[in-house]
Amino acid sequence: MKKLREFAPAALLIISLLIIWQVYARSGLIANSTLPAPVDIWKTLINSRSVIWGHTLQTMAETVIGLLIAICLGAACGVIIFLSSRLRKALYPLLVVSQTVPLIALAPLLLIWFGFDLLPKVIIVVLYCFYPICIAVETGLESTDNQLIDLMKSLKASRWQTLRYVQLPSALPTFFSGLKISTTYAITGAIVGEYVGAYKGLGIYMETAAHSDAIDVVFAAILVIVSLSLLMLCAVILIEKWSMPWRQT
Amino acid sequence: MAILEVRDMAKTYHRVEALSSINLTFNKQEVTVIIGPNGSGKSTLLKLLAGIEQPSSGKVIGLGQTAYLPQQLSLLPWRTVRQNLQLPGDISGLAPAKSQTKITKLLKDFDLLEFESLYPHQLSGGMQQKLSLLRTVLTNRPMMLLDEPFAALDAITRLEMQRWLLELKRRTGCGIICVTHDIREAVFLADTIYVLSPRPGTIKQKFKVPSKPADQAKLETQLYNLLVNKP
Repeated sequence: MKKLREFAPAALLIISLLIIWQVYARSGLIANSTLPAPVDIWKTLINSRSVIWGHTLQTMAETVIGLLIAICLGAACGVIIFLSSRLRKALYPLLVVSQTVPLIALAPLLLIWFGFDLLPKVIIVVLYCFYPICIAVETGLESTDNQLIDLMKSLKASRWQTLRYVQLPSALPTFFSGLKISTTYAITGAIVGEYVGAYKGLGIYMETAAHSDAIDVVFAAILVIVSLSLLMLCAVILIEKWSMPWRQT
Repeated sequence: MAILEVRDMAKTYHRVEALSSINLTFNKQEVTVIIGPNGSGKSTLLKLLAGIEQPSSGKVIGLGQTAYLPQQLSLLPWRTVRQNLQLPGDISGLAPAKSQTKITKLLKDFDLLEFESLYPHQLSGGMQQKLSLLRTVLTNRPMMLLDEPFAALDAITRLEMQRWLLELKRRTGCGIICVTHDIREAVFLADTIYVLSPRPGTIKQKFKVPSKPADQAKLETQLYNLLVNKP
């Protein structure tokens, strides 16, 4: 009941906006082909579900594979730059510069180098997601409480034992903060990659629909993308709760 | 019998002298309390005794004999009570079965077995401190170093914990070196009290705590006057 009350204001606002949208779209003030009504978008989604499902699977595969690789690389890089000040000095500027490169400009190059299949999209997702995870892990490791470090020193713990028993668990909350940011970026990355060039996926599906003036199809695809993002975010939150039962609620 | 000795030790941080000419001897099964004004280097002294920090000059004889308990955060929040008690064993490489048997016995001895699967945030402040102290016992080191162990507790829990600490000492036979601001606590716990001077901390005076309550009250007044520089 308490949870319901928490979500009630947001749900009410969304329902109100949908009603306003529906009334405006049906009022005749705007052509249905320019702004389809929510009910029509839903009907399109239901009618095209088998086609959309195929594209959704492709986008999901790119997103999940890219995100998993980004988690592994980002977390490893975060630990490495935390452990070695020399590597930190060498890698940090490179990491920051990597974030200033516009990926929309890089995407066509990746297509030229790696073709139209899964790989270039996965690379784009990795590039989008890697940095927040890496920085979150490094920050989390840095912010370990000094008293716990002192405790480990007094127990004559090795560098590795301190990392394993104290610093890595300490970094979990910030890691999950970074992961939540990356999860929301991940689908965007896949869509950007598909927009530039792909055989399959929600990005190329939306682009084709837009070129054919099928605006309802574009909206249906957007609805799927938003739902996927929310689902992935919920999954991350569940994993976060499961992996940190010790956190006070 | 002395198990820990400090010889002519000094500690300087960035040209600021925190401790100077410290000579101390700590005996087995004794409670020594170090008391002094803020910034006199009490916590630094404890960290030097624990081997967490290195002295700028002088030396500590008997390093490795001490088990340190930090001022506030001590239990690992992500480990249950049992897992926290397992930490010294995990670090020293003690066989898990052996470690578990010791933990179970200790928890039973102190009537704390029912809390074994709880996380620290599910325990009261006093209970957290009891378990931190038990973990210190599990290091098998004969001297405990406690940095203001009861500072965060309310007055009643603090009194209960002081008694509990002496009971723990009696049952385990360990020695205790404790830093505190609280004169009453110092007199209640200690066999010996060292008073540190303001920075740079040096040993200003040493007191043996008398057994008679009237004499203890006099010592409290004497310590108070010493700490606030009254004649």
